[in-house]
Amino acid sequence: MSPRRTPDAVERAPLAQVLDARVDEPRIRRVWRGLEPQLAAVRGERTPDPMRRLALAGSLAVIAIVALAFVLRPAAEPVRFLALENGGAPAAFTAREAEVVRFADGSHLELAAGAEVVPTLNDAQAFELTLTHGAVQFGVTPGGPRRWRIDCGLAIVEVVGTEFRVDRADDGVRVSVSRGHVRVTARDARVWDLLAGDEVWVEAPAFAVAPAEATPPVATLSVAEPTDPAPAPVAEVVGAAPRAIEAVLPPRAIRWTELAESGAYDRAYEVLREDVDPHDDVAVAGPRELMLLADVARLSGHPAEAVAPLERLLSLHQDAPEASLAAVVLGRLQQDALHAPAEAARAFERAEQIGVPAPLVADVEGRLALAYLALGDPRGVERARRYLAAHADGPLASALAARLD
Amino acid sequence: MMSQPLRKTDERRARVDATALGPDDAELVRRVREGDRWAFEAIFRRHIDGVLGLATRMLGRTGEADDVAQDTFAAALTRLDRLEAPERLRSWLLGIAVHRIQRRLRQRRFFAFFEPTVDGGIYELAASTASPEVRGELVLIDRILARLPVADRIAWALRYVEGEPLTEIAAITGASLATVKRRIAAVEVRMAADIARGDRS
Repeated sequence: MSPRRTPDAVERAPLAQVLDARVDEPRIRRVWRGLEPQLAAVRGERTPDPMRRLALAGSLAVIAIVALAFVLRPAAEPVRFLALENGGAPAAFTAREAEVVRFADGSHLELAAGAEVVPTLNDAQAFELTLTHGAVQFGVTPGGPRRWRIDCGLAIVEVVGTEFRVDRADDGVRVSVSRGHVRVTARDARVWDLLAGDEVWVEAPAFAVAPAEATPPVATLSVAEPTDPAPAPVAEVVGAAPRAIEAVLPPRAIRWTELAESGAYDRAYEVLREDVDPHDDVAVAGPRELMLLADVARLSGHPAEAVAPLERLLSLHQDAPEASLAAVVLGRLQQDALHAPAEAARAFERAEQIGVPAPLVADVEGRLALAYLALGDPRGVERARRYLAAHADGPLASALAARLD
Repeated sequence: MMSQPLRKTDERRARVDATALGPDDAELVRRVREGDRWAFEAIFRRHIDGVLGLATRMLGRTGEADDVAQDTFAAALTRLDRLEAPERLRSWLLGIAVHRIQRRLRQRRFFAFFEPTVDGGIYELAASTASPEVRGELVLIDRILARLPVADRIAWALRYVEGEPLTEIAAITGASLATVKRRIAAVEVRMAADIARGDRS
C-alpha cells in the first residue's frame, strides 16, 4: 500500500466540491465600481465631483430604504430562527442545577449548575450566544445552516458542527473540543483552530476580570439582512477611488523600518499591516529587524505581538549583540504587559545565560525575584534578599519587600 | 496519490462555453486598443468569475480577493497594449492575479511574526454541508500550505484546487514546466511527511 500523501479531503473528492467560493453579482458590481475611476482616467473623463456623488448615493440610499420597506411590509415572511425542540423561541437559560436544552435541529446545550447563556442573535444564518458564566457542553448538529458563535467575554468561539465544552470562570475561559473543529478568537486577537482533543485556556489579564454583561435577551430574533443591498455605501464609493488610482501609479512605498526608526511606531504598525514589501520576507529578517519589529508591536500598543519576533531572535540569532537585550525586553513584556510570570522567568533566565548588559543587571535580578515569588519558587526569596541588600532604594525594592512580608 | 485534477467541474465548462459566445478574447483586446468603450467591460464580465474565484480560493478572504480582482483588472487596463498574445488573455489575467495573490501571501507570512495563526485559508470557504471531519482536514491542508514557500503553494493550488493543466500553470506563473512539476512534487512530499508524522501543529 502506498503511503498517504495528501489529506483524505483531497483524495476523496475535488476540493472544489467542499468549498463554497461563489462569485455573486453584488461582488462583481463592487469590483467594477472600484475600477470606474481608472476607466475614466484612461478615457480622459473627469470623475464625478465627490459631493455630487455623495448626494447621489444618499438619494439612492433613501430610495432603496423606502423601496425595501415597501417590499418587506406586505410580505410578512415568517422569520426563520433556530427553535427549541418544543417549537418555542430560545430565551436566556440560567441553570440552577445541571440542565439540557434541546433544539429542533438536534443541537443541544448541557448546562452545568450555575451556568448562564443568553441568546443574542438567532436568524437563518447565525445563532449567537453569550456565556455569562459557568460551563456548558455544546453539541451542534453538523451541516446546519447556522454558524454558532459563543461570546465568552475573553474569547469568541465559532463553529458550524461539532461538540465542545466551554468553561468560563473569573480567571479565564477554557475551550475543549471533543469532535469536529472550532475557532477561538481571544479579545487580544490571538486565534486558535482547535480539532478534536485540543484544548485552549484563555487567561484573563489581571486587570480585566470583570463579570460579563449579558446582552438583554429581548432581541432574540432578528430578520436576516437582504443579500443584495442596492446602492453601495457612500464611503465605499468615495473611498474606492484613491486606492484604485494608487494601484496603477504606486507612490514610493514608505518603509516601516524608516517609520520605526523615526519613532512613528503607530504608523509603522499600520504600514506593516497594509503595505509590506514582499522582499522583506521573514526569511531574510535579521536580528536588527526583529528587534525593530518587536519595538513596533510593543510601542504601538500590541505587546502580545512583540513576543514572536523576540522569540525568533533568541532562537535564530542567540549570538547576536541584540540577543541579551531581546531576552530582557521579552521578560519585561511577559511580566508587565502579559502577566505571565513563568514566561517572564524563563526570559530573564535566558538573559542571564546570554549575559545581561551591565546597566540592566539589577533590574533583571529584581524582576526575576518577582517572577519566582509569583510562581511560589523558593529561589525568589533568596534573590529578593540579595536585591534588597544591594539596592535598598531600587525601583523594585518596595514591591519585593511587600512580597517577602 | 493524487492523479486527478480537482476542478474539472461544470463551472469550468460553463466558463468555456461563455467564452465561446460573442467576439473572442483576441477580438475584444483589439477593440479595447481601438478605443471601444464596451469592450473592456465585456472582458471584465467574461473573466471576473475566474479571477475572483481564483483569488477567493487562494486567499480565503473575500475582501482581499475583491481587492486583488480590482487591482488585476486595473493593471490589465493599463497594460493591455503590451499583451503580445491576445488569444492568451485568460492566462495573462490569471497571471496578474497570481502575482498579486503571491504578494499578499508573502505579506501574510511576514506578518505571521505577529499572529502565527492559520487564517484566511481554504477552511474559511468550507461549504455548509462539509462534515466536521472534512473541515478538520481543510484546516490540516491550510496548516501545511501556510508553512510552504509561496510559489510552491500556488503551483499546488492551481493544480489541485483550480484543476489547471500543468502547461497552463506554467503560463500563469511564468515558470517552466519542469519548475511547476518540481514545485507541486515538493508540496506532495511535504504533505506526505506531515501526514505521516500526524502533524497537528
